[in-house]
Amino acid sequence: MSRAAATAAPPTPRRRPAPARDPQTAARPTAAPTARQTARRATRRGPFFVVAALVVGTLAAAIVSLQAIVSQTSFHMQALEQQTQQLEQRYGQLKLTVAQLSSPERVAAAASRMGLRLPTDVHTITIPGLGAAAGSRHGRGATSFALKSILGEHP
Amino acid sequence: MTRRRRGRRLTVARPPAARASSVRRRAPAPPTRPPVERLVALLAIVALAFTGILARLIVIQVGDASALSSMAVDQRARDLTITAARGTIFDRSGRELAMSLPARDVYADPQLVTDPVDEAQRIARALHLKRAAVRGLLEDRTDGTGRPLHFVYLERGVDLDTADALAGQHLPGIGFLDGTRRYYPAGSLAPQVLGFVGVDGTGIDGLEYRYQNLLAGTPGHEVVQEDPSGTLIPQAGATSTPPVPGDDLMLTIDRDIQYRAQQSLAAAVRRNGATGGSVIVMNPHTGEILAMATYPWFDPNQFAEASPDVIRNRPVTDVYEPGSVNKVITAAAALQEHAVGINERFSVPDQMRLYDATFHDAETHPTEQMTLADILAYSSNIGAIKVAEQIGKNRFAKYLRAFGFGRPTGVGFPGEASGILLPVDKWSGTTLPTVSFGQGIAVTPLQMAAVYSTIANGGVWVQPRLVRGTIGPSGKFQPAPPPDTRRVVSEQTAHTIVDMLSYAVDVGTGQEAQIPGYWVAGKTGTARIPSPTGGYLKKYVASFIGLTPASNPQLVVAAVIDQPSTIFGGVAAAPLFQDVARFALARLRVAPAAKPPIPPHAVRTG
Repeated sequence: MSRAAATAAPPTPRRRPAPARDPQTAARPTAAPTARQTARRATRRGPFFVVAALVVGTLAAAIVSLQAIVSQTSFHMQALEQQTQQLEQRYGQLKLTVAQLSSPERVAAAASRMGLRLPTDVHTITIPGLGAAAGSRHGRGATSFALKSILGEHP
Repeated sequence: MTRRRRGRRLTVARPPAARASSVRRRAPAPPTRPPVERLVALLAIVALAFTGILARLIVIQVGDASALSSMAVDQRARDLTITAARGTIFDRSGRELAMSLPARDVYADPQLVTDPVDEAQRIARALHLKRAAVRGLLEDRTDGTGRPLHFVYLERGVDLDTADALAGQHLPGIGFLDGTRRYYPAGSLAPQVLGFVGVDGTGIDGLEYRYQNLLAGTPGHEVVQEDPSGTLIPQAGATSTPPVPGDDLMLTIDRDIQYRAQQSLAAAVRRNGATGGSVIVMNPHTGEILAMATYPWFDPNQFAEASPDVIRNRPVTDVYEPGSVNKVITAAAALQEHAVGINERFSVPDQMRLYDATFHDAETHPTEQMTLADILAYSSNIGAIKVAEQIGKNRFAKYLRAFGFGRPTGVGFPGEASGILLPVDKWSGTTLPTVSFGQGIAVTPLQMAAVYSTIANGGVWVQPRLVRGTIGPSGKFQPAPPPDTRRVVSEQTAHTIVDMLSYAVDVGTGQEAQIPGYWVAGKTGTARIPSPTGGYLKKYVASFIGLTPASNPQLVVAAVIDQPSTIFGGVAAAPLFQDVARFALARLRVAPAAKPPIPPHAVRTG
């Protein structure tokens, strides 16, 4: 009996004084909270728990969302890096293709298929009196400078 | 059950007062509260369990933390080696001659292969391999010592599209490794110069080998963390050291001139029924080699199929006895040392006995009066001997060395030969006359081309080179250091020799090399091939080395034909020179130049 009394919650000042009790029931552990009190107390704590749950839930959701966004960004970066790598590889392959297509062997073969051929009889025409090229030891017959003045830069 | 439920309701749901009234109404229920001892025991067990867990937690989190942490990292982390991109090799105009692309190596773990027959068929079809060979690799589950075999390469350097297609089949036990593959987009263009790269990306021969460190770059490393399925874990703290790509190499080779030189060389070899040949095109002023061709050649894209004989860059690595093209040194030394006058005439028979040997000209002729120009023009061996005797062996040997004989040119090519030039104190009585017309010594075609470049360059020897410069990762071109130079003969002597060589082409043995309008100065050579057992074989090397335009030299071309059916250089090699030189002059837009003056001569022409 005394243990039950010791565990009873002290009445709060705001409470109204309890009504007189039946002597028969006075021996019962009056300090123990009644179901009504417990329910009322639970009712009073309810908003706190709701708010706390909301705050914690929001925080948890925010953290999870943040992590998800970071992970998603990371995956996106990874995908972009892969795409960059693929494009670089594609660029390299295209460079190789260009180099192969422009190789003298292929160009010569293509030209041959089209009926083109290298000149077999080449003549160099020397126009007397057009002056000498720079660097020529003998000062005669080198005509490029004079010819350029007549025929343009790339005759 | 009902009673327990009722009792629980009595105990929990109803207040003690109500319970008391029930007690009054009903028989007293047996006590439901467990004994204190049992509760204490339970508490002790729980406490003990938690203590154990706590102790274990402390051991794991404190004592073994670092070891376990590193073990976990080891399981998750993977150290990836990032292959550095190998540098590209360009020609002098920036056109790719060799380039690398990412590729994959395909391997198998035979222990994990479930159906070797089916997998071999699929792999062989995808990689264009022989099915039986692949099947053999997949079914061979032990190595030579009987231990289980877990790794075997099926193919290396597979292009990415093919590898991806094969990977898409998800064959058990088949894996892929990142790597690179070297491509030579111009095919068989200058293969002996470029060399080639092995399957592991290391240069094996040629410039690929010589400039391995420069081209290879430095591989990078990346430590990433993966989940059990191999997916990268984002934000897992990957560390990486990026690779440093290799530098690009820009050669002095001109792709078009090289191609034309190779085509002309192949045609000349076929036309003359020869076994092979080589061509060098060189800028005499800068030492830049515009083309260096060797026939037969190979495709560096399939270098494994090439025989060792065709891989050698013979103009640099192989020596030959130059024959009459060497008379240019005899003439230059004679003029420079004033041992012979330009107008001096020699009485030249068609043969002459010296010591225990009889020397003779290529053709019989009556004793002729010849100047130095005539001796060169008609390529008289006897005349060359007479000139060399007036020079003397010490002075002559000095010029041979000054022109670069007996030591590598330093062109920067692996395995360059020095040639063979005996010290003067080991010369016999017949060495001087023999060397005067180009036998008894051995040089590379490149050394000989450098001699003619010296003459074309006004008497200054310029070190030949194959590399113009490098291009670093920043894209900046770094030119190669300037070539070594040294004066060998005076400018006047060089010009006089050019006039004589021009005369030799105009009226002498090199007429087939002439390019009217530009004019060629050059010399034919026909040299016997020495026998490994001593003496000479009845086999010849025909050559023509010349420069053009004669009065303003811009190009030196050396054409060498091995064992032609027509032995004379003027017939076998001079047309090859003409073909290559004419194309190179047009390609480089070299202006025509005047015909050099005719030097003093005694032999009547025409």
